[in-house]
Amino acid sequence: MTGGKVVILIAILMATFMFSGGAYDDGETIKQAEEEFLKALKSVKEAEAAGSDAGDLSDLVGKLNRALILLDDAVEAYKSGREGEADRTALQSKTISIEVESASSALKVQALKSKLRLKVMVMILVPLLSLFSSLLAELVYSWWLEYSRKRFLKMRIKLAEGD
Amino acid sequence: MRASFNKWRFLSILTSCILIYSTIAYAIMNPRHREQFFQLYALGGRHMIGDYYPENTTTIPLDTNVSWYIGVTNFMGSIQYVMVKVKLGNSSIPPPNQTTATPSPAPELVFFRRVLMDNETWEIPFNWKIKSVERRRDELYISLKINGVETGVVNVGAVNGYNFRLIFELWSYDFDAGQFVFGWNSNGERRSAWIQIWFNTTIAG
Repeated sequence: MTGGKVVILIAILMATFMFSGGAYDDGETIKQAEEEFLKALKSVKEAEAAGSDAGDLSDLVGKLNRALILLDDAVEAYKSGREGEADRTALQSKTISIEVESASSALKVQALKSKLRLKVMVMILVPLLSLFSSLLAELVYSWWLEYSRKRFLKMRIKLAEGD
Repeated sequence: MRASFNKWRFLSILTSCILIYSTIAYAIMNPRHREQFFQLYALGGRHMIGDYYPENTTTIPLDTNVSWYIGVTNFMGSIQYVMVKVKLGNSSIPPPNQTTATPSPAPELVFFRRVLMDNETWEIPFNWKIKSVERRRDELYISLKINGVETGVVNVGAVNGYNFRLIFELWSYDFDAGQFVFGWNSNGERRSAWIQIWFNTTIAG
């Protein structure tokens, strides 16, 4: 009988724990949302450093600021004792941050590929342009020499009048 | 007779062209570093410098709305995560120290934070009023309402209510440190920006 009472007690405790999970949350959702926000921000900065388009980055920054506002609202709600609302708002913020992180990673990869393509293009164009410019310079110089020579050869000695 | 092709002349022109075009390509792909800084400012209720105080007097009556705009502009050359901390000080609490980049020890009332693009300006509407004044010996202590949020009585007193100041400090997020730091790092140096606006109060009756 005593064993049975212990089992019942444990079952009641477990049920209480399961149904009052939020009360033991202690702002954990808000902390997770904050961490996710910082990860997303770091990812956006990396995409920026890789040379992503400013317009795309601006959109992501706008979303980050929305996530930040939600985070502040969640903290406010938590301080006021509205834990359920705090958790929901923090989760919304976390979702936005995860979205931003994913989008910025894709942007970073795209930007790195563009940068590589640009570098390869520059490495090909610089010698080609140099070769073309040199050939052009050589042609112009040759033509100018030829012109000067012909002009010199056309010169006639002219006696001054009155001699 | 056509001028003969001189391979040495051609090679020297080619080398010069390669050097010139490489320099141009490098300059285009690596823009020059410019000075990195933030700008922090305060404007009155009409979005202009001036008109900081209602009725043009630094003594703010109880429950009188005061409207300012606190602006931050990001000239750091990259996306930045910033925070503006608002503190209440008096004439004896030290303000932030620009030389050592140390924030003021005055108590913090509220903070505002935002992510800013490069060259972006962020203006924070700052609407506040004095909610209550209490006397403790010869000092007055106040509670404020800032943007709808009450601060409670702040543990900063001013003799006869003179020379309170609101201090606005700019903090930026340092990823290496993993936290907000007062000011920002620029070329290995720590810089800071802060502003203060003095005001007085009186006890009613």
